[in-house]
Amino acid sequence: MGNRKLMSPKKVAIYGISIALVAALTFMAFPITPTRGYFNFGEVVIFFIAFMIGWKEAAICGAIGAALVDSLLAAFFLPATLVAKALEGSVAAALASLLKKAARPSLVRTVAFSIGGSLMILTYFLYEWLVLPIGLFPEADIASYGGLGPALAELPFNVLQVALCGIIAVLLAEGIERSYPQIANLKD
Amino acid sequence: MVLIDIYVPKDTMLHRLDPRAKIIGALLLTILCFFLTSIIFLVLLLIFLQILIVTTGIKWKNYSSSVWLVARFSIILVLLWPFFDKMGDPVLLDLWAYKVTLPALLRSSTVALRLFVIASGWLILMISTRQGNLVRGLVKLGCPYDFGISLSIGLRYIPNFIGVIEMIKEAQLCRGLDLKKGGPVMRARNLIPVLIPTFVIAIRTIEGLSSALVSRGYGASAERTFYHDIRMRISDVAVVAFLTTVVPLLIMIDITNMVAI
Repeated sequence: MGNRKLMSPKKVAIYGISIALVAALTFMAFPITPTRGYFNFGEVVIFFIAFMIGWKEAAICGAIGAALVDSLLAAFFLPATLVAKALEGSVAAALASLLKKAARPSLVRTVAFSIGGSLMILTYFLYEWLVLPIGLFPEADIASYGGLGPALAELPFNVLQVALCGIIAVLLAEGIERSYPQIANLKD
Repeated sequence: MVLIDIYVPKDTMLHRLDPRAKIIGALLLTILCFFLTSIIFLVLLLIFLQILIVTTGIKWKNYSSSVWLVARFSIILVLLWPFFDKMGDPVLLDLWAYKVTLPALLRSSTVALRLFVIASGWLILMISTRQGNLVRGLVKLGCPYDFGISLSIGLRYIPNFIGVIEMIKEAQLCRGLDLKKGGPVMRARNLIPVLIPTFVIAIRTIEGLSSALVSRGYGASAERTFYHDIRMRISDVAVVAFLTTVVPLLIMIDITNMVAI
């Protein structure tokens, strides 16, 4: 560790609180669909950090916060969660920052969360389809992997989750920018 | 308090084991599961892990909530598997596109078992390791110290934020907010009055916490020492050595098909 410069206290606090918030909202379930299904809103925090703070924070806090909950409830998703959430947060943040001047903030953020979220959905889909049944099929039989069934079944729920969380994060970012302008101080 | 910390304070062999040994064990177990294709191995491993879990004295409520999620995913997995995997004989059930064959059933059961074994391994780590020791273990394994502090702050504040969200939710419900009204989009939108105050509290906590870190001398000296330190004993080294020998051995036995099924 010797000569590595430590993070500033503000950065440490940002990482710590963001990890806690991602985990709290992933752990808590809210009744969203009238018939079944409780959704978690961990993604709201990841997108919010991506829009308001930066790509590194979104990637690390998203991955670690969600992985903490996975380690308690569904540890078999851990490898996928680390990759999926880090990808989602970093890509959404990078796009939101790159396209900042191209259009209205809400439109830019919508594009950013859609692409970032799609990568998250794709990661989980490939993980459930190809990685969980690894070694059980010869390479040639890849198309008939049985894992395709559960992977397809999860797909619509993941899409709905990203869409809802993304929309909330965009509205939340606008609301907080208006009601609490000090948020700008959290950026470097 | 919310059950995010499932650590059970006891003095068992697993509790006494160095957190580094347990972290390495959980990682090796995860890797092992992705290589094992023998259902017999996985069943034996699962039984062994369940015995270990019982010895930790976990509360049934915590154990069942963790197992229930894995079980739900496993049931969906086994039920939907035959739609895409129709290979092998004998055929056990043939209902148009839904054809269940014995080899496919074994394959889906193997994947379901993998999920249970991985979840059990990580559950043991979380039940038998104090959160502070978990972070210390990660730092000793090479995780940067400042990330270690962030992680311990994260773990410390999770129950706080769950409490804050519940409190704000109840306050808004008292003011007439209906979280169960309308379709999914409407319900999601209704959460915004709960989330805005939560996020503002989080931002204020960040500001207060960074001042607290400075006032407590964070980063004052380059060489950090710990009041409560962890040390690897001979038994911990022996466990790590045993695991690093047995796991590749099991993988080799499985790859060379020395155990059928």
